[in-house]
Amino acid sequence: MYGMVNLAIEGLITERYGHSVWQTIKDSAAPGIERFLTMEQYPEEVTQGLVAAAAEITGRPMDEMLNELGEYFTGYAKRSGHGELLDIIGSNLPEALDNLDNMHTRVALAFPDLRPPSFWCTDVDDHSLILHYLSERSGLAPMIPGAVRGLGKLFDTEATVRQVASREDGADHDQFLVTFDAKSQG
Amino acid sequence: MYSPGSEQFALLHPFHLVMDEQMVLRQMGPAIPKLVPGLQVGEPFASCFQVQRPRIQPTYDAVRVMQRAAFLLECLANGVILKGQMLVDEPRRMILFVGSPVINDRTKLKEYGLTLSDFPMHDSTADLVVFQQQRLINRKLENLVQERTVQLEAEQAKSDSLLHEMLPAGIVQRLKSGEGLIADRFTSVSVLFADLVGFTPLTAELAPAEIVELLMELFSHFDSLIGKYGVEKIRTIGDNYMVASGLPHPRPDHAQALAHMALEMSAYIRSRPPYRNRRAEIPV
Repeated sequence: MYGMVNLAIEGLITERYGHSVWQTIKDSAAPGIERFLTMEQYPEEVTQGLVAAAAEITGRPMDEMLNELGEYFTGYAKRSGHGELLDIIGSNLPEALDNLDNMHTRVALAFPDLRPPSFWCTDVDDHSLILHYLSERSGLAPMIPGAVRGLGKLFDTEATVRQVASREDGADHDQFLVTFDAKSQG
Repeated sequence: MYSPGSEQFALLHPFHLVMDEQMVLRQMGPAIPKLVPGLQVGEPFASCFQVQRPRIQPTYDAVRVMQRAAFLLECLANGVILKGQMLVDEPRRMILFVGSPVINDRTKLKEYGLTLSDFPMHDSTADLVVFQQQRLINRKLENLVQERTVQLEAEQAKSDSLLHEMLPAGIVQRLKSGEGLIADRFTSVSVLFADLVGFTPLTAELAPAEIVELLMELFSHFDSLIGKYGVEKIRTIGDNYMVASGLPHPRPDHAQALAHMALEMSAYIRSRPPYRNRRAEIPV
């Protein structure tokens, strides 16, 4: 995993709970690392450890933590120089979601070590769609609802996201029902 | 709507593939055999290609839902990545792949047995290869600039330390800041000249290296006194050692300081062992 996700966790924790809480979390999950670098590779366990430690130290459920991280991550990506990419991903939320896999593929071509998830949409109509999510990593699905809501914010679109199929419950991959405000589509 | 003929289509898309519902190869562009020698129509898609992105199994139905995704196909034979688009022709139950190999430097092109003439004009691979080549050249130039900068800094440090040896720090500063003619007036200073007695006949007796060694030894010791008395070494000429006191920072006791230094210099001369049976003397 590139350091960007770990940096987003750092940003979220520091903003919500302050620097010393983050220090405690980092010291417990990644004691050897002084600071994370965006384009540096870190073991998957570091990210998992950070989320687990964050949930434990703040006393909040892991899923809730990941959900919040998902929403934060979209804003973080925009602020950390990927905003230009997000600006051209689509002209509204459903278009952006439809184009998500395409964008990840192009970024993966630029960063060969990136192993991004796949996304695709089915059952698209004016105010809802099913977003499919398939990753080789496990346990990050709770980030998706937050990330979709965060993406919606970039288009001034309020989105509600409900998981309708879960790999943990034996489904082939995770699926989310995304409903959104139809009138905001450009 | 206008539709090109099959020959034109092959020209436009030399790397295209057509698969049937069972994902068996039905057609391929003229440049594909260059990439995958020996590939025949009728072979299963999965025996020669692997879908790297999106993360799906290469089946007709999976591809059908992923038509909005960019596809990366890996040629199993040589690892070449074809980037492109899958189109599903539902009435005919066929899948069309249109794309071209991902090439980001010209050496890869050669490695894959391709030249830019294998790419259609509308494809941006040629521009990318040129762009990457330019970047490579720029990077080499940048490295060269960095290397030279390091060398320059090292040389500058050398010349700086040389300047500092010869001139007071304040003067060096003023020289470096571009002050051309530096001449300050000091109203009250002391100046010391010291010569070795009998130096000139001594030079006739000693080898040059021995003379230098003698002077080095004496002057190094004198130099160590400079800091102790807070005086300013001006320079040495031959056996002549010149020191000033009360500049560049004026001080009321400049004469005393220099006199103390002079006394210690002659004390040292008297105390050191004779050189070649000659006792060096140094009137100050």
